[in-house]
Amino acid sequence: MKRIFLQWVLVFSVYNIGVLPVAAQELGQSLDSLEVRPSLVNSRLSLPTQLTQVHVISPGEYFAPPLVADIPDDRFGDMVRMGRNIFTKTGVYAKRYAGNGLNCSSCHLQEGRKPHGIPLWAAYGRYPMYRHKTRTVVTLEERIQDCFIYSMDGIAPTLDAPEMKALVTYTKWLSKGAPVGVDLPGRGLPNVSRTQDLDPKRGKIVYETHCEFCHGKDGKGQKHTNGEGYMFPPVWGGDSYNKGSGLQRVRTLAKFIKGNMPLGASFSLTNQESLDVAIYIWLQERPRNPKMSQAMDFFFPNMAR
Amino acid sequence: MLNRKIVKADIIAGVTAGVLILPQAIALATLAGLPPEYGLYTSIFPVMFAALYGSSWHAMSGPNTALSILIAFTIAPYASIASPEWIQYAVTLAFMAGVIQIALGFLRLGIIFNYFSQTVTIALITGVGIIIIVSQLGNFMGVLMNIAEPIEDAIPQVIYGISRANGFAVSVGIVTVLSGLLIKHYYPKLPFLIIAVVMGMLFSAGLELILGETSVGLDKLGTMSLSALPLSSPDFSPENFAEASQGLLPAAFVIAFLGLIQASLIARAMAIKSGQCIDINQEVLGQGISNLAGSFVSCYPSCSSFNRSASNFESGGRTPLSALISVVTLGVLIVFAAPLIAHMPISVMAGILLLVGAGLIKKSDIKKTLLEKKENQFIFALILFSTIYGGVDYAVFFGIFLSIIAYLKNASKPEIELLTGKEAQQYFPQSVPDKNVQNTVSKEGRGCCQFSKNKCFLVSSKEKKYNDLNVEIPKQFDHVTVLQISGSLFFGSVMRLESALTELRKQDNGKGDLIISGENLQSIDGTGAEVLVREAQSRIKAGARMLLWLRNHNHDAVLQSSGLKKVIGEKNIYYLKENNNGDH
Repeated sequence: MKRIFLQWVLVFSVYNIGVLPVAAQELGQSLDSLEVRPSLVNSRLSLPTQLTQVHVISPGEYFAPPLVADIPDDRFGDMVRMGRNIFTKTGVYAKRYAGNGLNCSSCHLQEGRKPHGIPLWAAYGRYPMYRHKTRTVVTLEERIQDCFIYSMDGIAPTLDAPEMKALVTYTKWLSKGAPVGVDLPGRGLPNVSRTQDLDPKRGKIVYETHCEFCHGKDGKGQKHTNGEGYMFPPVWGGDSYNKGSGLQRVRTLAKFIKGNMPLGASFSLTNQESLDVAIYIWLQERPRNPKMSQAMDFFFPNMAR
Repeated sequence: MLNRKIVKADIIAGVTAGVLILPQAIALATLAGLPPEYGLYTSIFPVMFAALYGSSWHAMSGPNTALSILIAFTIAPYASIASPEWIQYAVTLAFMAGVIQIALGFLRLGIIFNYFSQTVTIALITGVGIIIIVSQLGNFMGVLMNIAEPIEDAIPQVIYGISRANGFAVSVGIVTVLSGLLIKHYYPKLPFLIIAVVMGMLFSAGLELILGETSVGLDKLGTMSLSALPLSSPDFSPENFAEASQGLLPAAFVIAFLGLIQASLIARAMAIKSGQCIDINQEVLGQGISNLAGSFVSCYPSCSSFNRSASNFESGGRTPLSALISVVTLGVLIVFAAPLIAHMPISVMAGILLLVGAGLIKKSDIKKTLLEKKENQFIFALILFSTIYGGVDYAVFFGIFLSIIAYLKNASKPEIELLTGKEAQQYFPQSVPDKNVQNTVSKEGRGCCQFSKNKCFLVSSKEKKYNDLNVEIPKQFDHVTVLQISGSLFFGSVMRLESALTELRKQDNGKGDLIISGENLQSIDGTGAEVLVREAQSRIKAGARMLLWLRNHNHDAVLQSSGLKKVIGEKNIYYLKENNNGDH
């Protein structure tokens, strides 16, 4: 019995040596280049037909991050690739910490490159910085932790986690050549200002006209056909960002919508439309704010908003 | 071999062991700098392989504290913690250690691990316990600490970290440790680690319920991505392995040795309890196979675990079936427990490791070994110091060295004893032609033991060693001394014989007859025989005689070559096997 077992083990291990890849190394492999990822859509190629304010990226206007093909082929490059994998498929490569269906690239569009789409290259040189939200000076790592806690509705990676290291490395590589301590054009999100009071009813109409096609009537987004992750991220519901995240602030969400949505037609909505749809989305159900006491949440549900 | 009753007992023991291993598996993986998944894999596959192929029926393999620490300290200079490279190096280490262990098993060298001094093992384990406690204080406080730091740097860091400590993390950790200690003290039969984890997690959940998760700010373990067959392979490609080979190669030997030292210790301890006959080489081979095969299914180096083997035996495990059941139990358990484990705070895990570390410092064992011998205190202090300051790997090499020294020192102390009364009489030759000993003895009975009719010389008690001799020896010309030598007489130990003979000569002026009883002599080499030759020559010159008793003809070659046979005469050498008369 034991001998048969031993033989089996030997045969099995010999089979393994040649055929199977190392599970640990998979993290550093490159993504499928033919796969369609909406976060890669470039607004230059898809101008809206409506006669509205059109934002076209002109050469030299914004900082140009390095190309994916230029990732060096060394240990640093491996880390960059791992960071990019986590960034674009967070639920797969940072499964330990991700809590919902979003990826980093769901908000940081075009893999963190898009101007006015919260680009990483504009953020890297600004950290450590003072944040009103925490009332402390936070480092980039601590900011990423907050992303995981709120926008990803998950668990914060520890500061020494390899996922954290990879994400910071990717950010650093992406901002190669960017100045430090400068507010670069295209940083963060564009400004919006309201002209009327916000109206979720108007917002609902805007949502149905412009957003529903991708994000769905119930706001639950659209999954990839193979069922792995979302092609279009959920904007509310259990798989979306929680009530503590930045996009839960109506103004921030409106800015995001204004600068990036509908996908490929940035700046096509008016300020008022952005604000209206933002308040409509704000009213929907989503995971609770982990900053708030769960007991408070239960007894005083309105205070937790 | 298997009947209903044994199977039932095995199932109970296996399920218990499978549940008990869960917190340890996670904590030890973290100790080794690996994601918790790898601790679980290591508690599944090597346990299975070692149980199926190892010799002991009760030893339970799996992740080990000392090995985990060793792995973390070995890989730390070459990769960042929990990164893919780190995991790769750990898997490669398991492969190398497995190959070394299998080689030792095939060469039938398993026996050498029986000589590893127990004092060294206790000191090593105590040192590991202290390292674990110090290294986990940072996690306990929710403060990020440097890893693999010498203890003299880690302690100030802990002190400086206190001001940055997260009070909630500390309180959760304290709840974990306290509940563990209380359960261990008042309900020793309950699984205190599991209860400590549950208490710590309940407390943290309560805090989060009242204050909100982010306000409490505990670091959590995170969701595990487990796979049923987590394939991996060791990597010796130059671009990955070359830079670390300098550190990994010696570490693989240390890991292999340390694993086998513990495995053989456990197998023997279990065998004493169960009465099973252990084939130590089979056990070594089993450990090697479990590590080698483990390296293909994402396992890091493992060895038998003393606590789990003992608890397996105590809860009724009698065959390797209980180990297999524990594997299945753990496999099923983690499927259901994974979502809960994701929310396990790091400080709870640090609390568990503090309990594990404190459990390694066994005061009773330390006391016992320190009181046993004086040299043990020296060895203990030395190994403890080198473990804490030099690291486990140096301490293992140093411990092997000290074990050999201690063994040689013991071996170089042949028992030399003066025999008296009947015990002495039995060595008197029965037919000495010119002196009628037989008659003398029978006439004068007990107490007289000399060839001639002169007053005999006797030592008062058998227990007294030669050096303690304080009986006045009469200055007669021809009295006889019977010296019994047991042990090995070799170049390292002749000193003692020489001093004994010198002492004897002082008292009888080298003129008395000498009977050397060497029937308990294990071995004798040229140097040892030389001393006897010199003594015989001087005594014969003075007109006395020297007789030699041996058990059998094993040492004839040495006696012949050293000339001892010639000097004392063939007729004066007696063999027990031939002269087996009534006395013997």
